Amino acid sequence: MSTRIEKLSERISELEEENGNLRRLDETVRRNNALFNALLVNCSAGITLTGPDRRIVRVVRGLTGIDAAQLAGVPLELLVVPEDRDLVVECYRRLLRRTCEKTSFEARVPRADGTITRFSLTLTDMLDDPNVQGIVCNYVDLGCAAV
Amino acid sequence: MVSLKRYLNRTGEEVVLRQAVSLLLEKFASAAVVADERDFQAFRSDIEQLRAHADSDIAADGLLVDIGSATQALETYNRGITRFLHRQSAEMQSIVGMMTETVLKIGGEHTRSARRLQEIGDRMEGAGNVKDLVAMKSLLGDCLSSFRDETLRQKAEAENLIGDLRREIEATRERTGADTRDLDPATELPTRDACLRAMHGAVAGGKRSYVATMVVNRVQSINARFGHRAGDRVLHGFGEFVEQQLAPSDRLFRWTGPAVVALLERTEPLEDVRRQIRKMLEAHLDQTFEIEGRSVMIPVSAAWSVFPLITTVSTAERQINTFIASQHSHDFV
Repeated sequence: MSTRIEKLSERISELEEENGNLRRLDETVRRNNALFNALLVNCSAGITLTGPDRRIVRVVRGLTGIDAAQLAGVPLELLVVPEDRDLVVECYRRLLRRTCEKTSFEARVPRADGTITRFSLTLTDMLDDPNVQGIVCNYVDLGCAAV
Repeated sequence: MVSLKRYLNRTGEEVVLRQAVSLLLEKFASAAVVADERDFQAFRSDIEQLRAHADSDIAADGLLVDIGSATQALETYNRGITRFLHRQSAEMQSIVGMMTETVLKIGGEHTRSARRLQEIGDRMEGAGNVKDLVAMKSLLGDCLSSFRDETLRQKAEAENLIGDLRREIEATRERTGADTRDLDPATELPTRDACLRAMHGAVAGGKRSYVATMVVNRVQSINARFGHRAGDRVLHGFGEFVEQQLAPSDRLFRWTGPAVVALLERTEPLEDVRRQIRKMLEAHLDQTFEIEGRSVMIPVSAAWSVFPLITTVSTAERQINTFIASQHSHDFV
């Protein structure tokens, strides 16, 4: 009986230690998230993560004023004016064919308020990075554009 | 119209000879065997021409030439018929050969029909005329009819056998608690309902069992990036891997979402079972996908938990769900 109680106490100590480690880890993650968000607030560029099929996985930082939650699953080319959609598709094809790891282009993007602005976009193939596994789209607003 | 002129200067013997020749040629034309209709018509036309020539006002020695030509035409025609019959016989023999082979392949029950077909084939080799071939055709018809009857009998037998097997499967399913109708389409594993039935069976059976819950990491993230088909493939591959590693007495089920549950019938202590599961899931389960010509490697891992099935099934169900819920927050898109 006493051996069992000893074993149980040992197990409880192990679990308490494990729990303490997890709490510390959780605190680190929380702090890193806060730091990341703070850095983003002061950043003028936008970041969107997409799948290889061009569908938006997550808008990390948007610049169009459109609700980010509504954009999940929407193909990226649908966010640019129809005349520039083929350009977006072609850039993704180039990335997937591995002719380059990064490609930049300019496209006209309608904002939530109806105005059309010119964006400079850079696509980076990060499909092989196990922490990202996607194509990262970074963009900066170049200002209003005539269609 | 009958011409009398040609009879005027002729002796009685010559007249009889001419009539005999005419009669002979007529018989040539009418008594010939019909094999190929076109050849037969051509032959008749040749004989009619010779007969017309013989009936005309020609000398007696000219008659001999006509008889010679007619005999030659008959010989040629007969050779054609023989060739035609051989051709047909060979064709039928090959058909019978093929049928015999097919019958033999179909099964032992048809050996009687096969033997009969072989006999027909042998007799066909000896067939020398059209009558023989017609008789063979009739025998072949009989044989085919019995073959058809045998096939129908076998079909009925097979249907009965399938029925028996289905009943047997149902009975086994009830005995083991597994229900293959409840297979999850993505992983092809038995579903949560089947798992609960199996757990009830294990508790009722009183055998020492453990429940291992495994939650595949990042499935939501894989679905969002590569589509749900890719997520399903990851789960399917994971299920396949775990099933291969488990003991034959263990059973694996798809619980819900990215979770699978294994029911392990073991006598070892909990720590040993935990060690086995830990070792099993240390393996590299990465999967490679082809997406628009680009191959992408997706690392696959799982969080897991093992506990003994010593309480009620509803408690075990709660423990499984609690563990799955604790893993849900880790799977961010």
